[in-house]
Amino acid sequence: MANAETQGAGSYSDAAERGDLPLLPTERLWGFWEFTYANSALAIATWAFLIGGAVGLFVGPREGIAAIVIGNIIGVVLAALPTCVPAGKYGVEQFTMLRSQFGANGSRLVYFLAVVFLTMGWLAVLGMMFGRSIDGLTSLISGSEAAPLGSKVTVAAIGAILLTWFVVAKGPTSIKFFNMVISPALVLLMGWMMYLIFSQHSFDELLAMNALAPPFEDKALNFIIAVEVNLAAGISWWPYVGNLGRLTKNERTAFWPNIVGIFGAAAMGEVVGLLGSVALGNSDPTIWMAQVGGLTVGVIALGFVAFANVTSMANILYTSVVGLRQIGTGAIRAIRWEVLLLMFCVVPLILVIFYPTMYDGFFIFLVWTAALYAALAGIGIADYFLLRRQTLDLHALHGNQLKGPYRYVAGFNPIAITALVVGAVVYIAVFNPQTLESAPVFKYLTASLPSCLAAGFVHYVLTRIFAKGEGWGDYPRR
Amino acid sequence: MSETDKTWAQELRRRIDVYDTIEAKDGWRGSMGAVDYWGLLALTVALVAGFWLWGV
Repeated sequence: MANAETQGAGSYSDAAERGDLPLLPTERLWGFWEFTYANSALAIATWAFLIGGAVGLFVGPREGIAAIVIGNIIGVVLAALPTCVPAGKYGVEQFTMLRSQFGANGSRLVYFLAVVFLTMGWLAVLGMMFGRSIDGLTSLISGSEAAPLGSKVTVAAIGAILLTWFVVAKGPTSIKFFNMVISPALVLLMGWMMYLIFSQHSFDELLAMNALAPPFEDKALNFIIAVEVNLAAGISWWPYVGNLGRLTKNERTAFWPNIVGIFGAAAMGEVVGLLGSVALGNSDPTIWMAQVGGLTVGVIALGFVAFANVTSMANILYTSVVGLRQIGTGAIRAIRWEVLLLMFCVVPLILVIFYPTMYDGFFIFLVWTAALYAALAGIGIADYFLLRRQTLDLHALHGNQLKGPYRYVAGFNPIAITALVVGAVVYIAVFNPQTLESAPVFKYLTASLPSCLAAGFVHYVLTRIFAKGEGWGDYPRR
Repeated sequence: MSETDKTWAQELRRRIDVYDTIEAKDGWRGSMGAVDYWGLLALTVALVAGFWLWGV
């Protein structure tokens, strides 16, 4: 009943929209196209240019486009199946739904691992991208050399994070305004960049270009690493899509728009990033955008990209902190909104000051997160589709967590946590994102798929054997 | 239990009852069915196989 204290006489629909209660079918207003637009707007962000540029390090445009499509379709499907399908059916908040798999405290643990760290990392990377855009822009105007690791970039990155804090502290209205303007404008920017690239090179010329810095002589291995980077990009939507899907009318409208919106839009942005990086010889979009069309184009593009980063940062910061209050304890909810936001920005600020090279190897951070999301996807699919046969107990999800069937052991489901650890270990055993070392199986199966399968298998088998009794998830008997 | 808690519990109960009624009548609209899952599998396999052959 913790949320009842804050509800008072306010609207229950508002409380349901925030995730405190399940949304009723009549309250869910998004149809197919509304959800498609919403998740396209989320996916068309500056990180797409970064990911596309990273792909260009490993493979040329032909293999890169294939890797973008293959990685993203698998990643988005794995992220959306265990999150959007139950959210579309019951209208339940994603981390409330996760209580059925991990227990109430286990769900909090997953939130911290899956949302807090990811968001903090992206805030730092996008802050640095803002800084480099400003540095590139001022260098273009003054005719001086850009200094990606200079103090100007650090100061601008700190400014970007603080600006994001200020925008989000003002509330969702300001973010909505930025979204309405920035997302369509980014589509125009992508089209403009494509036009400039194709005015200098034919499509065949582009396809025949080589990778910028392939790490291995084995082309197949480089290709699979590019696929894995994209799988990581696709599956890293796991923390966000479920809570958007619950705003849609039913399972179908919660699931299929991800394939059009997130997969289609992200793939388009990444292809632009890939072609730009390979054609201009630099994986950093803040460098190649400065070169692609001369002074005026460079200044406009970099200025725009800088502020588009703030929009992306505001979106993820807002979503994460709303979620944090949702799953957090009373002590966290008691912290003032502005203060909680600022506390969330401390780690990104430290990263931009002391670890500015994170930007150049951001894909390593991205791929590390896939070790977690692949396992979470496997557990979610095994739990919801196979063990629970797509039926959840709403009383248990929203009732007293100390007495209900999802209480497990002190609020943690040791089986799901074991499966999560197994999935992450399998991932790292198959592919080490830090060193890029891999087991032979990686070339055939990637690392995310074995990790997802292993976590799902362990969760299924251990649940069948050990999860008995009323406090152990109340799984249906076969 | 305070009055606020009671009304909150009633509202939760009301919402869960709506879903229980749908479940009892098997009245889920727009459910993902076999056609959706087979279609999704076919689309994924087609994209993966098609781009693999084209790109590698």
